[in-house]
Amino acid sequence: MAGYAFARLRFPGRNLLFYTILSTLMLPFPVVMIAEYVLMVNIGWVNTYQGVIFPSLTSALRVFLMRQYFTTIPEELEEAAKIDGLSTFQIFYRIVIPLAKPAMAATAIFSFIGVWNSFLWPLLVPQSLHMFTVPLAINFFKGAKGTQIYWNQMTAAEVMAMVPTLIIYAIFERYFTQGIALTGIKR
Amino acid sequence: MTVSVIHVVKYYRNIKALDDVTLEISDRELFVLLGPSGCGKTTLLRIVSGLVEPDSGSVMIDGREVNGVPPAERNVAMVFQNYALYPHMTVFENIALNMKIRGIRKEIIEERVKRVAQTLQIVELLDKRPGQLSGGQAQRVALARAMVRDPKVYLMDEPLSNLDAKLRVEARAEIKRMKEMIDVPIIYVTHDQVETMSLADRVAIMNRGKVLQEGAPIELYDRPADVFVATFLGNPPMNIIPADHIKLPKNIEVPGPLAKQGTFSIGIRPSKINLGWEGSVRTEITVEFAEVLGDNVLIHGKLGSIPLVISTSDRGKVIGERTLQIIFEPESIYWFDEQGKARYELAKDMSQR
Repeated sequence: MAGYAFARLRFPGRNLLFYTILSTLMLPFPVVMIAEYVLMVNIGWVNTYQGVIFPSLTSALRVFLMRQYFTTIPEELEEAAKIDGLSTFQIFYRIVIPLAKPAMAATAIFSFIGVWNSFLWPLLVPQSLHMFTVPLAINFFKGAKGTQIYWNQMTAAEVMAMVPTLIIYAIFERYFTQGIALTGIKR
Repeated sequence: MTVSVIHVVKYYRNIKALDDVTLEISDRELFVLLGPSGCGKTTLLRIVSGLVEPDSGSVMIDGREVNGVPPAERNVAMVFQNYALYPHMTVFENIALNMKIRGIRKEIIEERVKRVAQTLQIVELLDKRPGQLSGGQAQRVALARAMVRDPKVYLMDEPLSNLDAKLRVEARAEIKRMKEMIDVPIIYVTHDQVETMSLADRVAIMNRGKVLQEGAPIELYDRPADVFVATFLGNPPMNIIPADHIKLPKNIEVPGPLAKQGTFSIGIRPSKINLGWEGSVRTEITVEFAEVLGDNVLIHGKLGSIPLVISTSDRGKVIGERTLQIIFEPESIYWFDEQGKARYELAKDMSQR
């Protein structure tokens, strides 16, 4: 939704805001990690699910990806919808969202892989075992002091960890090919 | 139902896209806005549609001022250059969307879509998606989407420019037929002068945000106001020759004001130039190349440094020639001032042309 706002709605400071968000992409995560952790401590979200989940709910990368896709949807479609009497919000969910499925599928897969494989942040915030992500669990196959590595169990666990990603990809895959075939505009 | 555009001005940044445009379009009229790209014709169409608001001036539809009224409430229908069909909906849904949004009952929607589909012969396409349609079919669907709403005015933005030459002729006939069925004005934007001559009841020729001339197309063809209009209508375009590049016979009559100024240009349509020696105005051109178009041959030549086009059906006489003797009659000369801003007529044939 933020991506759509940046692509089509005109409001003062739009470009400034967009580039500000974009510039956060240029900061490596370890740089902001400590500030974010302090924030979590202050609002008491350390060792909670929301503490693990919330920071990944939005991301500059996804806003950027969606915006880039929205700008490729021909403006005439939205104008035609305006003439057909649709409100801005109706245009968004009746015209734009259905057309953005491929981009949303791609973004969903990226997000899923990113979150599924995240290591550093879940290493900091949760302290109980049941909140740990898979890569953290895999990390346990190293012996307590890092002296002994159980290679066989570790690789087996890695293969298991891949399965959900593959399933997610299989679900969203059809949208990729569909997206290209759907263009109803003649150029 | 009428549409009036009154003293409309529109700026894009610092560029004046529309410069005090006033037009009156009446019932059952197909009104063409003709001009080169960037002349403001599409902007004007969008201002009538409500997608763009003018900086000053007003738009009236059916006697009501519609400035500030959103497009949907103006009850206009627009056919876009690329049709702008919603790709994720079937043809039926495309046509029905407007009525669905307005909350019209399902049975009524179905009946009206069917009726329009029958008129435009697209019934068997209703379940398809836009991606599966050919160009001509998509164009008919776009027309159907416009027609089903019973709008107060149709706005068409170069609706035929995406079709190939053969389909375009068919689609022109389609639009003519459609026009017979409706009794509201159609405003039609194009840069194609053939479309204009074939479809328009009236036409306004625009350039740089200004309307240069309006009237019936044949009137503009016969009596262009200036060089721009003269060279825009007619294919190949009218030849414009500065008077000092051609020797006019001593006894030829030049319109008074031009004769006083001494410098002026003459215009002559390619089809009014003949081959031969026996004529009032005689000269010789060098041939650069010829286009054989079937019955007609277009000779591209030069008169001194001035390019000149002749259209002739006399194939045998011209092919292979390096120079040609040409003649034309003073009656077919158009007289323009030096800048090409105004056309003058001989006092005596004011009534004829």
